[in-house]
Amino acid sequence: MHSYCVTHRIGHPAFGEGAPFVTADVELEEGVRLCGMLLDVAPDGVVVGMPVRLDYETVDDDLSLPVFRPRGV
Amino acid sequence: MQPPATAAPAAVAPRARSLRDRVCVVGVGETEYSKDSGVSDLALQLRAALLACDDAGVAPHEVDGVVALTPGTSAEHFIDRLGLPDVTYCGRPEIGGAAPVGCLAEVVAALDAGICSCVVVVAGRNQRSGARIGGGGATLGPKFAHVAEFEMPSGSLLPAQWYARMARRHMHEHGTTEEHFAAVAVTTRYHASLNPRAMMRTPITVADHHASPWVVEPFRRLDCSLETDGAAAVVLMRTGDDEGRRHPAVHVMGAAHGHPDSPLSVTQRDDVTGLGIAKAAPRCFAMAGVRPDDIDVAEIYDCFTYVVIKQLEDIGFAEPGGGGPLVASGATRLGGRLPVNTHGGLLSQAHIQGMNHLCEAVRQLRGEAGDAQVRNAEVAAVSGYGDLGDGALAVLRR
Repeated sequence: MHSYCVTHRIGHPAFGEGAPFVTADVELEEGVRLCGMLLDVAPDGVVVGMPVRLDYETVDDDLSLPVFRPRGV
Repeated sequence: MQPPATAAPAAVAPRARSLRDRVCVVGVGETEYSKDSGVSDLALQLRAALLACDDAGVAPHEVDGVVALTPGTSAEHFIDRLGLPDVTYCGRPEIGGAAPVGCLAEVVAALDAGICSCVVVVAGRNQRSGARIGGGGATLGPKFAHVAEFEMPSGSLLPAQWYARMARRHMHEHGTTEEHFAAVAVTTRYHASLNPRAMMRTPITVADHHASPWVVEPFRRLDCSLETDGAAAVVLMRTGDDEGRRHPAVHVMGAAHGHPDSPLSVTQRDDVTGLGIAKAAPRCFAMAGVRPDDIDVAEIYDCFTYVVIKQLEDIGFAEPGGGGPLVASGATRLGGRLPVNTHGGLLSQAHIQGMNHLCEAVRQLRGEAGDAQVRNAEVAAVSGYGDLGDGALAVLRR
């Protein structure tokens, strides 16, 4: 993980109830950098450089989004 | 203080250098800054423009250049409402909030080339009572299309979230801390306490900063700028045409703007902390013929505390990683060796897209800054910052 932020306050109805949530910028092994939510981790357990893995979360029939989880989870 | 990290582009410097001091700011105008102006965006901007004309001793019909920087209004509105007979220049650079400072590069060139003779630059809107950032209604436009497609669906919607990831990386690489952010917030608020035009005048402590709630870690509420109703404007003319005006002229020594790499996405930038001002600053100093250690006072765009720290490094006031220690040392406080944001900035005076920074730099150089006056201020730097890290720098002198 290259960097991240923890969002506590956001007005948008799609995300407000999920706060606090972690947004991560992740450097993939293939060389692409991708922005996505980091799931299955407490915000105060996040550190720059921690290894994560890419996953996909199905939002609805038309939309799936890249998400990250700590490697090993 | 250190010289700019990058040598000025040799091919550009001599031509730009010839424009040094050729243009001056002859008027500044600021509306009341409030949470609810009760008037339209355009009315605010017209008031600011007229205040600046009055300050300059310029009749509105003399204005033949209009740089209207806030989306939603345009030069045509000013031509119509102010009855301007023949406007010949109306440029607006694509650098977001860096435009009030960055546009000076083109305004200087246009005035010197004779395209126009009297330019009003104006910015501001009902940012609090009208469309709020992140509140819906504020449109981001095509330059945010990449972010809208690849980042917003994952909940990364707001400038606070984009810049927080820059800040976190800077903390990781350089050891920048929340104490450094607090030093910016506390110092800026102290300056606002001295400014009757500032909205937030009650001094704060580091403990107050640390106790303020998280917005987007590592930013707390006191790391974030205000949202303000208001507008501000300046009037510029060629040096020599300024005789007989109400106030001593403030000369534009240098002005430049720049984009970061990958200006459409912070995430896709090799160095996510990279800003356009790192490219603009060496060009600005080359035009001005001065160095960072010649600057007596600096007004630095402060949408977030961290952004001040990074710009202080990129401008050359500190080494990379030295911005935090610089603000923590007290150097940027009134009485220090480089007072920064003597008006209270976007953090504590008002958020007027940084046009208030330009007005304050002019007031400092005129000696009109009241209790926040920097003694013997002769040379000022003022920065702009916009969109996903676009940057601008101007150097002004008495």
